[in-house]
Amino acid sequence: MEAANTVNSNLHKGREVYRAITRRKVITLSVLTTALIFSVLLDISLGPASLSLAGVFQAIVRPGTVDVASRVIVWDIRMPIALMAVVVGGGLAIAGAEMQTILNNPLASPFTLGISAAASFGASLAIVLGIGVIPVAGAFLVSANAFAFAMLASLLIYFLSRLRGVTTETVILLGIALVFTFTSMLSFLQFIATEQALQEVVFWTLGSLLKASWTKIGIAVVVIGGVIPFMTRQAWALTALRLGDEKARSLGVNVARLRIQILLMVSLIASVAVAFVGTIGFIGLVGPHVARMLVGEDQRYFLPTAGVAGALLLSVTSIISKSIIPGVIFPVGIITSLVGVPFFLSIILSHRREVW
Amino acid sequence: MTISVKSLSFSYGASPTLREITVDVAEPGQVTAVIGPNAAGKSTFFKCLAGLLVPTGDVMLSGCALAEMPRYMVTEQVCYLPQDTAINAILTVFEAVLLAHKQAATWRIADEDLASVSEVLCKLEIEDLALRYLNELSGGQRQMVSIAQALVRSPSILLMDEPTSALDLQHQLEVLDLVQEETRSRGIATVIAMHDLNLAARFADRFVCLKSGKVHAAGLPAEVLTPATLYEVYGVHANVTLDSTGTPHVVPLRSARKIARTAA
Ligand SMILES: Nc1ncnc2c1ncn2[C@@H]1O[C@H](COP(=O)(O)OP(=O)(O)O)[C@@H](O)[C@H]1O
Ligand SMILES: [Mg+2]
Repeated sequence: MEAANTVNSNLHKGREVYRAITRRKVITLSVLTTALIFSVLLDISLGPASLSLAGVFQAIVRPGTVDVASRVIVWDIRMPIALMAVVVGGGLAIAGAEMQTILNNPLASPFTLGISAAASFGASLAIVLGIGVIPVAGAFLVSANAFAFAMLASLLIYFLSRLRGVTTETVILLGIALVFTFTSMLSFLQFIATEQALQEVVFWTLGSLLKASWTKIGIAVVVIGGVIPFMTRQAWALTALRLGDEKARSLGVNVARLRIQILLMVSLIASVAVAFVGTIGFIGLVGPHVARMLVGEDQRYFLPTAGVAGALLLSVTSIISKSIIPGVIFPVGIITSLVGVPFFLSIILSHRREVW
Repeated sequence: MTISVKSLSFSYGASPTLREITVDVAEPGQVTAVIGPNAAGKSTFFKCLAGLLVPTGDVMLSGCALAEMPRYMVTEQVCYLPQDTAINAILTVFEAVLLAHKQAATWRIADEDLASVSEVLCKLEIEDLALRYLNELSGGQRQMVSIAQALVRSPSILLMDEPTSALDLQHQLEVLDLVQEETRSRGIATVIAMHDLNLAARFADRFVCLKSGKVHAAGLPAEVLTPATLYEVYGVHANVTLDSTGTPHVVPLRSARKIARTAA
């Protein structure tokens, strides 16, 4: 009788605690998602031809009922940009989150590992010399090149990290070496480029959402959406990895294989994200940190929260990029850091908790 | 399940860390203490027992070679608690223990799992830490969480590498009491690395004493904890008294090295 009571009370307590933990995360994730939806609508409503939020909403849910001009502005011009911000921001943050997890390092991100720099170099190679490494790319020559070089950088890191005696710290250092290598090769290309090509290169590397199109969004969604289920299947193992390699291994996680698998998946996501929009440095680093501070590192919540946080950050940046000077849209790559750093510092400093 | 090793050797580099160890380590319902000076190879020995390092020679679980068992089976039967408990994960204590208990994270967590986690936290009297984050805990509290993570898995073989090194006197006694009780009632074969010889003598049924990667002595506490062994292994002069229950009690006198230095 007494034993049964103890079991009951334990169950009761356990449920209570778990519910409390889960409730907070679900609420946080819902709030962020709602904010993201509003941000996207606001992003679409802003621009030279001002539309009301209600008008935007109507043009989206019932396109037949609005005039042609509004329909074109919403569907063909602004929505691709607004959604590209969501897809790329989410992708970069998810990639950063998993890089930080498997490398056990708060500095890991697509940017710090040289993936963005490699993409910039690849894009510039196409712009300046017309050299494409993927022959059938056609109109996507620049993006295809950027993707190819981003993957090349990832694979380089992948193979180097498989060498014996290479620790997760060494991988970060390798990434930084890649950043410098690709940056200087990029400078070389800029040096020899014609004036027109140079301008195009600079514009590309600044990172801009204006290059968005429905096709590009489609490709990015298919790639990122295709990889994420594989990642979420490893949620438990990835969370266990945060307890340290030895504990994770004793819990039955094949640590070496997990690292490699995730590194490959992350490379794919990061490469697609940077290929279409250029260098957007901050999201992949900050998105995961924001998520970690908000919901902790249970990957079942950490991963989606990082994605939504990254998407929200880039979406807000997109809004700001058109609001500074009406009629002028600044490349988001310039804005992300300007907006992101103060925001980031304010959360870090206001948070008592030691986050890494 | 019994755990034993046969001519087990291991080296990280050129010189061997563990040399030809053959010993019956533990039997179900028994606590074995592994003692020995710093760098004797205790942690290395534990990692070999847990299957995390691959030694030459054999680790036998109830007569089966560990190396030939499928990984999931080893994970299910053997629980290893590493010496190093520095964790900077942002997980609550409850989540961390649940993580150790569940072998796969799905969205739905079964009621039994929640009850088991809650039960272990209750037994270790760390329920009030349930909602605290691991990275905000003291060293001793973290160690308590690690112990909870080990106990919640209800393994057949429990390997704990210096589980009480950061605990205060009260917690040392309580934790070891609980481990002993669980060992007896669930028939676990428990192996604990410890530096406190008197504490070890009080809770362990058997001693394995390592020195420079070899078994220097193994057997009942009173057989291993002798002035002669203590001198040979630690270089310390010590008195050993037996209390009314026959448990040895070590009173260290002086380090032999110190005596030599003073004399010179
Ligand atoms: N990962 C490692 N690489 C190389 N040498 C190691 C490693 N871990 C331990 N050692 C060496 O093995 C010896 C035994 O270490 P360890 O098993 O940790 O001893 P103990 O736990 O008894 O203090 C020490 O000399 C130590 O320097
Ligand atoms: Mg040790």
